[in-house]
Amino acid sequence: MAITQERSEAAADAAHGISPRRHPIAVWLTTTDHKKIGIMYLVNSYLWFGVAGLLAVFIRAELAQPGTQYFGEERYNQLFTMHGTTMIFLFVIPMLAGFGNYIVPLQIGALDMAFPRVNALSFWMLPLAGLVLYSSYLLGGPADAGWTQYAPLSEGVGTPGNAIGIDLWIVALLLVGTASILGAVNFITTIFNMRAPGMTMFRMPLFTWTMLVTSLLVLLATPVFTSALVMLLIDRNLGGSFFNPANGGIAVLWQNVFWFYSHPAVYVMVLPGMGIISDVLPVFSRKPLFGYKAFVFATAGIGALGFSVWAHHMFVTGQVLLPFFSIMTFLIAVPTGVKFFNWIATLVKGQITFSTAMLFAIGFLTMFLIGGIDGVFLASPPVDFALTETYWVVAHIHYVLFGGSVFAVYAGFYYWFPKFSGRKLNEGLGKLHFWLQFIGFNLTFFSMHILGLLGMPRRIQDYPALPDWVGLNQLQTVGALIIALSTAPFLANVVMTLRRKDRDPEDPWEGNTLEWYTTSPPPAHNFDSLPEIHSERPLFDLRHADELTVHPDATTTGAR
Amino acid sequence: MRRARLIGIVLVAVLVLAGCGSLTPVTEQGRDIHDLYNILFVVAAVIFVLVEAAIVFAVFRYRRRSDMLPPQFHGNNLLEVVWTVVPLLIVATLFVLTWGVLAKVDAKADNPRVTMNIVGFQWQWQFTYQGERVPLPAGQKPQDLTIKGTIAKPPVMYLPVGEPIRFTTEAQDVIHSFYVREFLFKRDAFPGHLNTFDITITKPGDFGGQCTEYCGLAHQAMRFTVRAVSRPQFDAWLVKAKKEAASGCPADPNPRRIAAKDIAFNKDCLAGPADRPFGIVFDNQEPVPHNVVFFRGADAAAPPILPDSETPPFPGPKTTTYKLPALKSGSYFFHCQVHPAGMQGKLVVQ
Amino acid sequence: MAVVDTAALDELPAPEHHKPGGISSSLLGMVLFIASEVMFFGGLFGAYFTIRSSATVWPPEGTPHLSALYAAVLTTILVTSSVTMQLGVWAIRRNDQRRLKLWLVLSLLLGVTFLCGQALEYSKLIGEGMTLSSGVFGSTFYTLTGFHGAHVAGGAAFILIVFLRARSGQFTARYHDTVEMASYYWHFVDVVWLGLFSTIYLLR
Repeated sequence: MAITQERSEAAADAAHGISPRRHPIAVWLTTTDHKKIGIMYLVNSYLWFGVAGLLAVFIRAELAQPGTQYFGEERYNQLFTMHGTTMIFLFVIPMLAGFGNYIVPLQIGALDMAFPRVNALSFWMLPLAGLVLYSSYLLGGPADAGWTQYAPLSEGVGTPGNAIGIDLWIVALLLVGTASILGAVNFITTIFNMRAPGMTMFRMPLFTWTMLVTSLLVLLATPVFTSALVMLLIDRNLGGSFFNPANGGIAVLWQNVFWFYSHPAVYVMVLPGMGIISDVLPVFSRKPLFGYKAFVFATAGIGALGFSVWAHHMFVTGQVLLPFFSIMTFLIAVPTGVKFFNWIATLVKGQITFSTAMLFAIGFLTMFLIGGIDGVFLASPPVDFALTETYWVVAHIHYVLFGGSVFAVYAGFYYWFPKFSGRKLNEGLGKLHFWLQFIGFNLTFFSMHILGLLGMPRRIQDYPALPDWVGLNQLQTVGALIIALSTAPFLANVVMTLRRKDRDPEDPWEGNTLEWYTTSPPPAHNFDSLPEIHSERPLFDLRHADELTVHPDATTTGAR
Repeated sequence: MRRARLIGIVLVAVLVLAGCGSLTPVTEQGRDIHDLYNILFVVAAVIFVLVEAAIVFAVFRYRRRSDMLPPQFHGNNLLEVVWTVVPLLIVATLFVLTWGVLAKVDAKADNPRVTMNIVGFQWQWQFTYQGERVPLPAGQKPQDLTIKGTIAKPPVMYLPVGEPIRFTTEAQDVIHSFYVREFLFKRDAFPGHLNTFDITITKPGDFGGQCTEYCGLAHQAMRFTVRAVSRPQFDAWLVKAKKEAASGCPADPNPRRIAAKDIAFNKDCLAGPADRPFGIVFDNQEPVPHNVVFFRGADAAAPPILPDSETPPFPGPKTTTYKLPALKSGSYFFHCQVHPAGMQGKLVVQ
Repeated sequence: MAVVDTAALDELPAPEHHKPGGISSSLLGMVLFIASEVMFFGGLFGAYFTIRSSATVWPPEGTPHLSALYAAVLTTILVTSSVTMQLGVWAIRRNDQRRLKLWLVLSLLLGVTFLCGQALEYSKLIGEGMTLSSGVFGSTFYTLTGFHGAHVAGGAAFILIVFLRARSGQFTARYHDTVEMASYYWHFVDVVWLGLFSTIYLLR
């Protein structure tokens, strides 16, 4: 069975002009095919997710009890620095870019990205960046000033042993930043210039829309981070004085330049996830996304507003205009709310089925609701004075990044796995994965709200045994172990499914968007033909052409 | 599926309600902040319950029951307007409430009687009672009463209850942050920039605090205590503290003898006579090497009194005597060269 | 079926540089890339303005004199090179290969002259004690002008490559996107310099 399959695949490849004699490793190393690059992004990002997750388990192991058990102060500080850096720059951002790489050209009916070779370059900079970052463990110790590396601490003031760690951190992030910016140029050009005939901007799938807005954020915000990294590098190594008051520099300048990027960055980390949810919910409700245009405008609004709120990370510095940043932060809740109501309206009156992808999408809704709401508390400076730099913030960031982005990533995995491989992941294992993760996640992070209210600061290796602190920390450590455990059924599922010889249908979910029109996996050139496109659900229209009236000029189909 | 989902929701709800395990504020500003938090919490809880109920309802009620295609609604402009405008009004209200509380929290009193100058450094705090002069022995410039903490001995900040206290925060090296849990308040301490704020404590008691801006290795050890007492008690303490600061060391039968154990000195104050040579006996009680280096000034930037050859670090158990020359009246800083951050003190000569 | 003389077509004045309803991918890509570079300089300018606004004396005491006149000469050179570059673009749009090469060479020479002028000013200032590590003015000055210089160098290399390709006849009126791309980049580098000149030399 395998041999006949190989032969027919080889024959198909030969028919498409692909030489059959190249070694698979050579193929993957030199490919410029967005689908193979997308897969590499996903695999590379998931590996770094595992590494950063291990660091999290170490952190929780140390925090289970007061006192020092496994990791002393220096090691612990390195742990949370590397955990945050790896999760953000080597996992979440590239993972979502990976989905974008594979899916966006397919969703718009293009045959590849606009700049395939730049696309490959963008990818390969990422494993390199990871190696540079982690080489610090062998070269005297990794960065240890937090993923936010506030100056003057990150300039080397008073920190032993990180002679090179922070410099390697800077170089690694310069690599990641460049890869991101090039990727953004690619996505924007592809989306503007390579859509199939009939695919107007307002007929693009939501996932593609979110990738467009995200790419604009990446394009405009990441270079500001680059400038901050460069200034820090100059201060650290060439005697510069940007951020060190001892030499005439300004300490808070680092925070301003850093957060000017890092705040839009959090939308980079969540908007594509919201795009995935917006594609998944309609498919498994068998209804269109409610309020498509509102969604597009809400996404654009969040992107734009995201540039105006950065100093809400700096309320306690005493050096920012509190009322302005407070009102802008409160305002961002409005377009986010619009999205929530539209998602719920998509579910209402639907015919909902609960595949694992759908479970993760629904889980996303609850988790991101909590994470979004607890962020609103922080929008109020007086309340922020009490809660910032405590475990309340740790709860918030993990609810939006894990409960939000990671749940969305898993929804994307379960949804598009059949497109990548021709086989659906096993639903039983999937559900086990979901429930273990849902329970473990809430067990770990919900009580951090309480810990924050009780005044436990973040980034401390040890803490006094105040009432409830120990018990809550222990609960959170147990939860973290359950999260770690929950990846086992997922990995087993992936391995098991890839080894299956049989195939599932090419459009197993009755999807709405163009990627489901072609084979699973698609041929190298993506589409042998394209259907007519009259709405944001070309496949739905095709499937139900006989049931509902399709007006050739309509942007929407079906009865209201 | 249905039962498990319900259990999930109940769990979350219970945790939410249990989340009222918060701190009771002990300041006026803290009370305002806590009241605002409560309003935000009620609004948040209501929104959460309503939206989550809608999600749960939709997910149960509209489970697939047949192969029939459901009605294909695309949207409703009126709904979009409603659920844009209503949240806008809600956040606008929350912002207005915030602005009001911010004005109260940021308000500065006209004439605070106590001003605390707080300086953070890696990795402890120094508190100066601005204007509270300590009459130092003759020949020395008077200084404001200052309490400097060490990791081994975190400082206690006495403060009066019931009147506004002005605080200023700054830092010597990296950014730190001054946080007292039950004040529900923190403010950064920056190198090169002074922050100022007023707090009025409403209840007496001991209130723990620590640095809340990650500042390096021993960030978690930068702890301190605020001890709030009545005004009369505060005045009495001020007198006592100033006298102690002036006299050099608190009552100590052996002010010329110091020991080291567990990477700490057993005292931070030594005393000696002015204008004639005298000896200080140093007893290192552990195998970890220590020494005592005396400086001709208030900190280690001043030149050392004895040459390096006479003050080598050495492992114990062993005792040595440092032969100090005649010194003028004053206060001389000393520390252990091997552990300067945690092992330091002053030699009072008079 | 008519026989189409593509060579003759190539020599006709090119249609607008866009595909139906948009701009060509290469040009769009370059515009987006330039947008990101603008933001990079934006971060550096932001740092400069922040540091300047909190200083009581600017430039700080002891800073060597910066000659606005000298910088004005450099500005003239760079602006002229933008003009010559644009003339080169107009030339190839008319399929004038000879003039394209001429204007490219001139732009390149002017760009290199600018760089030499910068290097001269750097050596003078370093001789007078202003370096990256001599204080906050040195840090901001050399970082801003240094990265600008690096971009000029990169742009000059780009122009050189375009010139070599022009010499081997690779551009026509219809197909010369790379020349347009190089011109966009070069104009961007020029505009950044105008910003630097106004901020550091004129505004002070």
